[in-house]
Amino acid sequence: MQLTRSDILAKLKEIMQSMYDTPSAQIQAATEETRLIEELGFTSVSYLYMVIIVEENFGVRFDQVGGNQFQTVGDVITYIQSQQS
Amino acid sequence: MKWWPGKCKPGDMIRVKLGPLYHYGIFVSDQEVIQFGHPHRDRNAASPGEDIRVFAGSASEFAAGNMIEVAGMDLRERMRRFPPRKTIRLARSRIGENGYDILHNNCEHFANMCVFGKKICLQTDRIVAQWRTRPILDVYLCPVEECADGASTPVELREKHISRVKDPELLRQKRASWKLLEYAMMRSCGQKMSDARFALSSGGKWTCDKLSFSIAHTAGWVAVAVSNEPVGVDIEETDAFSMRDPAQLTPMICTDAEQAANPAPEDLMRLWLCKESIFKCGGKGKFVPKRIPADSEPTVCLSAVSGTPLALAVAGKNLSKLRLYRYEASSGATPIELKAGEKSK
Repeated sequence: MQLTRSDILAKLKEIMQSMYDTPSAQIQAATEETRLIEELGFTSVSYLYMVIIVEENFGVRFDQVGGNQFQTVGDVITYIQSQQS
Repeated sequence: MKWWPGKCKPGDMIRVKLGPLYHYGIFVSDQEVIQFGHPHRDRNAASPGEDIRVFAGSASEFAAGNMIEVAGMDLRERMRRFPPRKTIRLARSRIGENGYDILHNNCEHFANMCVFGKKICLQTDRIVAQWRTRPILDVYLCPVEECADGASTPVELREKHISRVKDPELLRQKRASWKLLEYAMMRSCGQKMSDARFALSSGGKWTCDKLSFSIAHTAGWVAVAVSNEPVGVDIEETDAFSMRDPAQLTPMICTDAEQAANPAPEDLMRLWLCKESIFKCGGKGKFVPKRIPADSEPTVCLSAVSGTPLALAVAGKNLSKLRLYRYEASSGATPIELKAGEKSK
C-alpha cells in the first residue's frame, strides 16, 4: 500500500507542527501550494529540522540540503514520492 | 558529556553556539582549532555548500565573539576516547577534506570521529529521538472492499494462520485487516511492515517489535489501531448488536456489579466494546467479559462513528492523542472528527 499525496501532506503538517509547542493555524491550513518561507516563515533551522524528521519518518535521504531546494509543501511531497519509488 | 567554558587543552573537543546550533572543533592551541566549516571569517557571507572543508583556524576565529565550551567527559567517555595526540593527528590528516553534508557529514560528526572514532551528531539524534517517542494512538476504519485485494498477507507467519480459515468472508476480513495494518504502520509510524518482526504469543496475541497494534473486524468493516503503547480496539455494527436479546446478553457480558446497576439495552454494546478493547489491550488467557469491569482501564467509546454504521471502543495509554481516520484506497486516510458529545469514557 502506497501513501497518497494527501497522506504525505498530513504527515508533513504533523512534522512541521511538532517544531512548535502551540498549534499553528498556518500549518493547519497548509496545502501543497503553501510556500515554506513566505507563508510558513521557514528559517534554515526549521528547514533542517523538517528534513531530519522527513528522513526518519519516510526512510528517504536528502543528499544535499539547500535552503532553496523546496519552494512549496508540494515540492517536498514530490521529492518524497520520487525517493520512495 | 557536559559542556562548560574553561581552559582548553590540546585534543579537547570544543564547541561554540552560532544561532540555534552548535559548531564543533578540535582544539590544538590558541592558534590552531581544526574544524569542518567555512574558512571565511564571515560565515554569513558564504553561501551554503561553498568552500566548506576541514581547515585549521585560530580559536578566536572559531569563537567569532561567542563563548567556547569544552567537552567535560565522564569516566566512561574518557576511557573510550582516543588519546589527545591521536585525536590531533586524525584531525590534521583530514585538513582539506570537503564533502560537507549538514545532515550526514557535519562538524559534529567530524569532531566525534576524531575523538571517539564514531560518526555521532547529538543535535540530530535528539531531534529524531523526540520524534520517535511522541505519543501516537491512531485508529483506522475501512470497509472491507477497500482493502481486500485478494493478495496474501505480507507477513508470512500470519498468512500461514490466515490461510487455514475456511469461511471465505472471514478470510477476506482477516486479509483486509492486515492490509490496513500495513498502511497504518507506514502512515502513522513511518514503519514498513517488511522491516518489522511479528510473533504470536502463547496467549494467541500477535505482537510487533516496532509498535503496538490491535485489529478488529465485523461484517463489512475492519479497524486497526497503532500506538507506541499497548492498545486495544473493537468495533460493532450498531444495528446488528441492537437486535440481540438483552436478557441473554446481560449475564454474559456484565459483572455482578454491572448487572446490579440494571444496564439499559443500549449500554450493553458500550460495555461489550469497552471490555473487548481492554482485553485486547492487555488481557491474557480467554476473554470472559463478565470478569472484566468496563471501568477497569481507561477507554474511549464512540456509540456512533460518523459516516459509518459502527460503534467503536479504544483502550490504552495515549487516549488523549487519539486520532480516528477512515481509509479509502483512492484518497488515503481522511480524519473523522471526534465530537466531545459522542465520546464516553
